[in-house]
Amino acid sequence: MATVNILDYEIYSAQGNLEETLEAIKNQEIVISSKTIRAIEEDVVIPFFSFRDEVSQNQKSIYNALKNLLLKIVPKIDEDKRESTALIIGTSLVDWYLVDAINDTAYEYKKTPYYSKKHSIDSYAKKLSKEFGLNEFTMTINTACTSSANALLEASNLINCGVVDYAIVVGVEIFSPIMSSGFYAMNLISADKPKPFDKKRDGLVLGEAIAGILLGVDKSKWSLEGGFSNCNSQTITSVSQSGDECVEVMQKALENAKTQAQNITALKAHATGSDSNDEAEINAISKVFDSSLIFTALKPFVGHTIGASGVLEISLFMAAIDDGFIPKTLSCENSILADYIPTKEHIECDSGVFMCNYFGFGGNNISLIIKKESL
Amino acid sequence: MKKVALKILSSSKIYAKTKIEDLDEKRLVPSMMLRRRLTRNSKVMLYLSDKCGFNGTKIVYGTCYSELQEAAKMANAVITNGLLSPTSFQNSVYNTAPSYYSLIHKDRDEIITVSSGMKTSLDTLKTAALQALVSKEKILCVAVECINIENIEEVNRCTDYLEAGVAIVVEISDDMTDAKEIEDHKIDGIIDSLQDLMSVVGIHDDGIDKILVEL
Repeated sequence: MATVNILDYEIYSAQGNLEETLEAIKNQEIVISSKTIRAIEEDVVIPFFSFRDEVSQNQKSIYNALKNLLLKIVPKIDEDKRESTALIIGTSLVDWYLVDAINDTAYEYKKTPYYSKKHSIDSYAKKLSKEFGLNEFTMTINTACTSSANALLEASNLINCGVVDYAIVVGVEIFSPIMSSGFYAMNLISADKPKPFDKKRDGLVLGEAIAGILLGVDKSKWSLEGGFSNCNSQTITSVSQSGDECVEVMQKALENAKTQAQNITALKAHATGSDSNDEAEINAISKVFDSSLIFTALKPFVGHTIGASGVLEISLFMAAIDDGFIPKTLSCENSILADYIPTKEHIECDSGVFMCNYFGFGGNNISLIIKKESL
Repeated sequence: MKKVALKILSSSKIYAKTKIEDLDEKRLVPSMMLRRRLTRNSKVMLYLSDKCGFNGTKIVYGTCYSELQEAAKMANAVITNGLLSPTSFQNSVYNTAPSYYSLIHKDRDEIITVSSGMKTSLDTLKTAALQALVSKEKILCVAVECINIENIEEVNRCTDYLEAGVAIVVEISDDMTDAKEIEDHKIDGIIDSLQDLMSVVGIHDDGIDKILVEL
């Protein structure tokens, strides 16, 4: 794939805006809050990476949060170039208007009339595109944990094909009680915090995030060199413990970016902290890279933000490199694979070629290769 | 705006007022254990891909309402303090149907899931055109809506057909000669989120096998 430049990035996570989140990572001062969710005949409290200022689970609130993000990114695009800027959103949010309607009318004892007012997730993209004078091409991708990572690849396709010169890729995920209950029902939620690749890991901690990346043809120190996405599941939720499905994705991403494993400066792992996902990923890493590989996980800082994790974690990783370091992997004391140990301390680094992994539900897997020219 | 020409290699559509009765499930999914786990969207998608003679590579799948039956089961469980089924949760994500396709057919290529409200099938087609343009490969472009859940009549305002799906297999054509604009071949009563692709299948049924898609 032809290189596409990364011109800008902005985030809003549980730790705050980009600068605040970066400070939290540098100082390892992480705030994890909690949410109460429904389990079987009882309420349970789970750890959760919540926004400081709540984004309610309604159309207006989510739209305003997305608009605030775009207010930071769009002004950096020349006005005459906005017509050639596509907007792509990656999310796993479901249509809550519909779920509310089902709750209210189909299952509640006291049924209430429902006015069918369909607001799809994509209506955010269409409305934002209009409001900011962007190209009318919008797309909303929903491939669970890989949603916004896939959105980045699709955006690069759009630019490489000459359909547009720029694309804003947004990842968004807000608290969903049903999603949290679902993860809880599958015994995938940690009791306290994510401990990726640690022998004592006990699950993931979900989180909220809104993040955006501006891709385009202008010169930049950062570029998206390539990547590979596929769907290859052993079961409907996971890949095999051998990690062979992840190996294929990582190797093809390297091929696509016309590089080799030994050229990778560091790897940002998907690393949810769940039992099977971490094992599959570290096994895959060990089959593609030698044990000198520097690799890290960012979910201990911001949680697993599902559809937003693609854009959020690449943005955070770039921010850290721009600040001169690769973040340490919090809460990993004893790696599950003795020779492959995630970063134990922040490591100085200000440029290089980096692999970013995302491995999601339904066997949707993607690896992206990004590069920052040395200063 | 850039226009590309797509050659339609095959197409198929299916819909029913309440439930599509014969999706040829036993032939398409011989494993009973796996067959029993399939969602309605998955079964319709498998059927359509088979009807199109698609034997795997890249897929662009679209759905506006996703796995409504599973979402309804989860909503019900939360309201009634019941057991939230892990299977329902696993099956509730938007890309469930193509994931089952991948599992059953061992398709290990790129699969994208698009959800764009009532423009879902149009955006699915555009994404498929983009994929075809980049990869130069055949693309299965498929959109499915199965909303036949309990008491749906109390909320349904958008379709006469509670189960419907539509699919085409396309590849990029470098020659735009004879490529036709997509004309309106909508089917009355079909949910709007599928109508754009229904129109494409309609004109393919009329003998047109090359269309223009505006990206």
